[in-house]
Amino acid sequence: MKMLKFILFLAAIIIVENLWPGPYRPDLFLLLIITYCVYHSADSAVPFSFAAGFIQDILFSLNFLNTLTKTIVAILISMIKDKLILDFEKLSLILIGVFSPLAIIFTASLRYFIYQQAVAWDLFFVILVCNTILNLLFGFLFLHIIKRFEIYGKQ
Amino acid sequence: MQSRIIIIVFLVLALTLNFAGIGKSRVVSVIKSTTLAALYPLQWVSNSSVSGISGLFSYLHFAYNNSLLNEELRRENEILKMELASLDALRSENRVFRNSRDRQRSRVPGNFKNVLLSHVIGRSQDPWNSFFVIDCGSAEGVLENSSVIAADGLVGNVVAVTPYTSRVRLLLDIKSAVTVKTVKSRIEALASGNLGGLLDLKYVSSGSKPLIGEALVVSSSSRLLPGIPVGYITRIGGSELDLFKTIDVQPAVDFQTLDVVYVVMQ
Repeated sequence: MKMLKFILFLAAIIIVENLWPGPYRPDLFLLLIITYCVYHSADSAVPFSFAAGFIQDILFSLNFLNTLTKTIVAILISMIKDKLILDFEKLSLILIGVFSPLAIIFTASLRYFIYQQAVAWDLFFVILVCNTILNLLFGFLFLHIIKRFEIYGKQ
Repeated sequence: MQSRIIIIVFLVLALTLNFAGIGKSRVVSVIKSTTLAALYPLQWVSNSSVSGISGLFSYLHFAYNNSLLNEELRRENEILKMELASLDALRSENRVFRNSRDRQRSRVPGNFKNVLLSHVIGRSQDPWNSFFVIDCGSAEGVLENSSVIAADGLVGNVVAVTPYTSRVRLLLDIKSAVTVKTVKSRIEALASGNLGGLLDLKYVSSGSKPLIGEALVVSSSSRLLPGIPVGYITRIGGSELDLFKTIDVQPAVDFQTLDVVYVVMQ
């Protein structure tokens, strides 16, 4: 049952990512990874983040930057989460607020420096702000759904 | 220790996917295509729902526009129907006038040229009287006992006159009587109304030989206009022992549809 719920939740994320209309969109995979990493240990969080980033890249990207970004985010969260004594929701929201812009900056930097792709910096800042705000707004909803349907089990 | 190994393994994997060209290798391509195939139903569902929703909105917009257009066309259709009905009425009236004019030219005898065109504006409502009200009266010079004719024959005579209207007693009225003559057998008789839509031909002796279908005209001995058609014999009855024959006459004029008549000015 728990597995089925989780699969449905993943399917919903993929469908929402597919349906989202504009260029400013919440990174639901990042929200999923952050909440998953907060709740689970690094042993399962890192492979899960790798897999989630990989699926995101396959579906919505031409390279594997999301795989790398999500894996690094998962590693960092696994390393710092035990040092922060906060409850699940607050910690998740703080991490969403911190890692949303960092992930965008990291991805853009890799794209610019490694893949030598042009980055429109004015648009980049707009995307940075809008995506962070959207991630935080959707973070509340995300956490509510996780709690309501006990996606990761009882907390 | 295990965690560190896992972290290192996946970090290296992620890095090699991006920087060591593994991302374009055959293995990754296979994994990629397999994952895409596995997730295709999800993408299909989401894309179908999006296109379905946008299609629904397009359809609703189309249906709304069509309903507006339909309403406009219906209103236009109603207006055109009314205009058509009005034109039909005008055409019908025009046909009546045209026929009247033509018949007046061709059929009104030479000595009745001084006739006044008039419209029927009223008809008797009870079965015991047969009369018309026409739209001309003493102001136009109409007098009592003036003969009234139509293109097909005798209609009746004027029995009452007001300045702008006149009352015409029809041949069908039970009080009407006119001396007529059969066209072929030259029998003179009296035609009078019977309120049944036909005329009775009276005082035809049982020895005379009128013909069915024979036309009747106003006799020259009548005060009315001689030579005007009155009707046609439709039935001849009575036995040889009777003094007179019983003869039914179909009036020449169709009183039901008569709209225009002529008053013969004296």
